[in-house]
Amino acid sequence: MNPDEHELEQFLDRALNEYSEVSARDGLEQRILANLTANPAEPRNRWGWVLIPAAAVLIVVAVLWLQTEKKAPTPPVAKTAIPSAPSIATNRTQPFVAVKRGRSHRPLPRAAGLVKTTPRLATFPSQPDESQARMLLQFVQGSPKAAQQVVKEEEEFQKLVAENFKDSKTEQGLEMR
Amino acid sequence: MSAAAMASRENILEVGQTASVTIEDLVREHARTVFRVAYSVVRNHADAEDVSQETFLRATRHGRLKAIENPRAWLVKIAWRLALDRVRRAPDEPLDDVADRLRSAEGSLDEALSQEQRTRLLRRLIATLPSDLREVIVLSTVEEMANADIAQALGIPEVSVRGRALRARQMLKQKLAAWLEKKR
Repeated sequence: MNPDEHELEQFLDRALNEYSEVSARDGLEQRILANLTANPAEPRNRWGWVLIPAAAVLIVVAVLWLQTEKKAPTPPVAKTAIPSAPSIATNRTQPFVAVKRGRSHRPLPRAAGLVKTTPRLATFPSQPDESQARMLLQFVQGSPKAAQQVVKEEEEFQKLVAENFKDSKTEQGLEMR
Repeated sequence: MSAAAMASRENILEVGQTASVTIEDLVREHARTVFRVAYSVVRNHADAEDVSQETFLRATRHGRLKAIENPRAWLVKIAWRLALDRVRRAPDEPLDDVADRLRSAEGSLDEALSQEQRTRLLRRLIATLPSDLREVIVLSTVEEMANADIAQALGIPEVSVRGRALRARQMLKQKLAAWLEKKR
């Protein structure tokens, strides 16, 4: 078979007309409606796409506002002239001192009144020995005469020591002259 | 009918006169066209009916049916896309019997073949067309689809529909001639 142009046209016309020439089974509309009734589709909420981002933005703004409210107010900055740092040119007369890098061990300045300074005692513990004091008291109460005697001897001993110390000093002065 | 089904039916009717009545009108008026468009792509009754059901289900989700200017073109567009999703590639149907018939037959070309054979041959030829020409020629085979409806469904100007339909027809003729020459 060797069809000509007209035959090809005729074939295409017929084939194209038949291509979608089909009829659905009876009751197509009823089946579709029954399906729609069985599966009711909720209409899409178009406002949802607007409300959700709007709510999110509001929440973010509220959180930011609360955070800024919680922050303590910063003190106002005084508008005073800032002393300019001494330039290198002005300090040329001073000898150059190498700065040791590293951690500074300079003590921190103590705030006045904050740290209570107490005098350091010569002996530790600072309180007197109570046992010795108690024994001395018992000795004085038990034998007051003996105690008086001890005190008198102690005084005499101190006088003798003082006199001897004075004599030795005068002798040393004479020798130096 | 169960209580749940009754409730859902009442719910549909209560959605408002706009939604329920309009969708029913759309189904009664355009279900056959939607079915044929779906069939032109999927090429079997069961799939074409499934696509039709899905098309109207999606239409009910739209909510504002009254705002649609051309409901037929709009429904065809939905059905067309759903059908294409279902059938991404046409199966290669055998055409040996068609070739044998043409070799032995006498008389005109269109009378030598049965309707089923003609459709199978045309389907094979359409499948070889570029996609932009293919979709126009397939939609133009649906009786109810005017060029304006096709243009709206595909989102192209009406002039393009006419041009593509003409080019598609010319290409089909060339391919048919080549196929016949090859099988002779």
